[in-house]
Amino acid sequence: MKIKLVHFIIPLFILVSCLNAHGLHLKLEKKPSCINIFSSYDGNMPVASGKVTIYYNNNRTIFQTGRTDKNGGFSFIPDKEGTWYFAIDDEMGHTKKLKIPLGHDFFKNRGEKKENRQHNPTPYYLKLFLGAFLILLLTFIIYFWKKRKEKMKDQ
Amino acid sequence: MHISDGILPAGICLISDAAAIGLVYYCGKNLKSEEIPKIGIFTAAFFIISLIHFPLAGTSIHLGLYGLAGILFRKRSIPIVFITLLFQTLIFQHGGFISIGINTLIMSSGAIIGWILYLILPLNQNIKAFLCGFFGIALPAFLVSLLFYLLNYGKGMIFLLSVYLPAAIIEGMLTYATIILLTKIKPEILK
Repeated sequence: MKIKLVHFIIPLFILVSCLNAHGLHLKLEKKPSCINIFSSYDGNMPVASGKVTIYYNNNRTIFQTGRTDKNGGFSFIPDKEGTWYFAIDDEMGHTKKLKIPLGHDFFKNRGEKKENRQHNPTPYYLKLFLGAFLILLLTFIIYFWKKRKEKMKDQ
Repeated sequence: MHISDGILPAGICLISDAAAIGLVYYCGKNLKSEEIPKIGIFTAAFFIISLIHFPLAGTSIHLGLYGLAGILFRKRSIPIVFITLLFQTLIFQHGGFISIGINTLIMSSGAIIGWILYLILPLNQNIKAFLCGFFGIALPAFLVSLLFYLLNYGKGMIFLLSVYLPAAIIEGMLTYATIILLTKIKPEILK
């Protein structure tokens, strides 16, 4: 059987679809007593010892600095309502910022057992195929546009 | 190796954005229609392959195959690198929109070195392929670490380079394997 390029590309696509990428992801957990944030690369690999800065209302007044633990976790206790910002830097060129709006309810519920999980990311594989699909779509659009232009030129 | 927004000063980012747009335009102009499908398929493949990562030394490194892109597409590899980075920024939030120019310039250096080495080295084709793949990631890693060193950012030049050394070896081996395969199944692609 003659080997064609497609025999190489299809297994490659299947192989890489089983692997993971390395964006930074943040999982926010609002607990009645504190705010927990878990940072990870794609594939759930924790960002251990990432440099963290907590700001309040984006006014660059630093509320807290520190580093994530071995599991990529970091906790802090906000002291007032408003918009808080969690910024992480793995010092390898990857950064991520998370906006954490805290209303009256959060402080009202302090001491009560209430959990609020906020994280529902688009599945990774969906993003991967969406990206490849969009690139191919763009290719076909450019190709047909170019062909049409050439046809019109010939006429 | 993507540099996120907010790490570099805005001035550097804007200048490099302008330079990258100019370079992408120059290398992508006068594209023939028969080149487009090949470029599109390989761009999608490079997009996917650049999302493979390995956990190493408490961080994560990924493949790029910039050297291979340089061998296969020569100057057209720069628009390929740009489109790959653009979609990674759009879909995976890797890097950033303001820093896309500097990322394009740095990653394109890998493609350019791959292209040049493949043309000028008087060596066996397979050895050349390995070296192109190796330097295709080693050069961007060196430029990123040099930039971070000049800006006094990060964990240090030696650390960053040592992290990317295994990636460069893997890239060299992958480029070598791909060139062998392409020589057997579709040699005209290398001309």
